[in-house]
Parts: sequence; structure tokens; C-alpha cells
Amino acid sequence: MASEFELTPKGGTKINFGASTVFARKIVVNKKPIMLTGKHRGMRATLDSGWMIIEQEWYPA
Amino acid sequence: MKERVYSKEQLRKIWEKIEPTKVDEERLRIDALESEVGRLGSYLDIVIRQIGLIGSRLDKIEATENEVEALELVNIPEKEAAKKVSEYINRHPGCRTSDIIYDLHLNPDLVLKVLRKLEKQEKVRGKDVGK
Repeated sequence: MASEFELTPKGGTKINFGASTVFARKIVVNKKPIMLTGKHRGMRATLDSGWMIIEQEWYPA
Repeated sequence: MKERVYSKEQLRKIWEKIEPTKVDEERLRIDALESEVGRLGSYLDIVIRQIGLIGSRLDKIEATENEVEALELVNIPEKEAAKKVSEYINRHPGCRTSDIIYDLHLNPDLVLKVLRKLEKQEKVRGKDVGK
């Protein structure tokens, strides 16, 4: 059963994140530079079958 | 028996018949090269066999590396998980959610649930990354 913190977006969805970590069956990284926005460069990772954690940083209160 | 006497010209012609011709020399060289090729071929067989052995050893090593035990993310009682997560955050301020999951070997659903509860109880504070 999916937990309340879990989403399964439909295909064709774009997810924006500040930081995330993926746990997947297969991860292929392509380091060829690609423009993410007009200013920002990045690269591409193709992932198969897994889940992604949108990161938060944790501090003692 | 009367001894025959040859002129210089006759001797030269006879000598030409006896002396191996260039074709014969070439044949000898080809034979020598063929035997050399045969010898090198047997060495090549040995080298190919050795490469095959090295390849199979590499395959075995690779298979062993792939057999590295996978990290299991386990479910434990929520109270116990909350204690572990809280202690981890105190020891590693600024740690990320995936660090907690990975380092404590805990199920991600459990960690997210516990973090939300600890945040509500104001024991920890979460901050989005990149904002």
C-alpha cells in the first residue's frame, strides 16, 4: 500500500527538484552537457524502475 | 681415359647449370619463412589460450563483484526508528533524507513518516534544499 508520502505521477509529468536521490534498478548517466535553462547546464541520467526522494536537510530543533 | 679439357666459356656455362638459380634461392627463403611462420603460429596459439584463461578469470572476478550483498532497507518499530533518526540528526546536522535512509538502512516510508512526526513534535527541523 502506498504511503501518504508517496506519489506515482503519470507519464508525461515533469518533476522539478532542488535536490533528490534516486534508488533504481538501472541508472545510466550521460555526461554530455545539456542546457537545463538559459543559464544552467546539466547532464542526463536515465533511470529504470525505482523511486526518488526529494531531499530535505534536517537539523536538530 | 682421355681427360676432357674445357674452355673458360664452357666452364662458365656448366657452373651456371650447377649454381642454384635465383628461383631456387627464393624457394629456400620461402621455406625458411614458412617454417618461421609455423613456429610463431604455435606461439600465437599459446598466447591466445593464455588470453582466454585471463578472460575467464576476469569474468569470475566481475561475477564476484556483482555478487556484493545488496543493502536491505528494513522496517523496525516506529518508536525505535524515531530514536535512531533523532540521534542521527543530532550527530549529523544538515544531513539529507536519503542519508538517513541509507546510513540507518531503514525503509524510506518509515523514515519519511518518522521525520514528519519528529518535525510535528518540534524535535527536528526540515529545510528544503535549493530554496
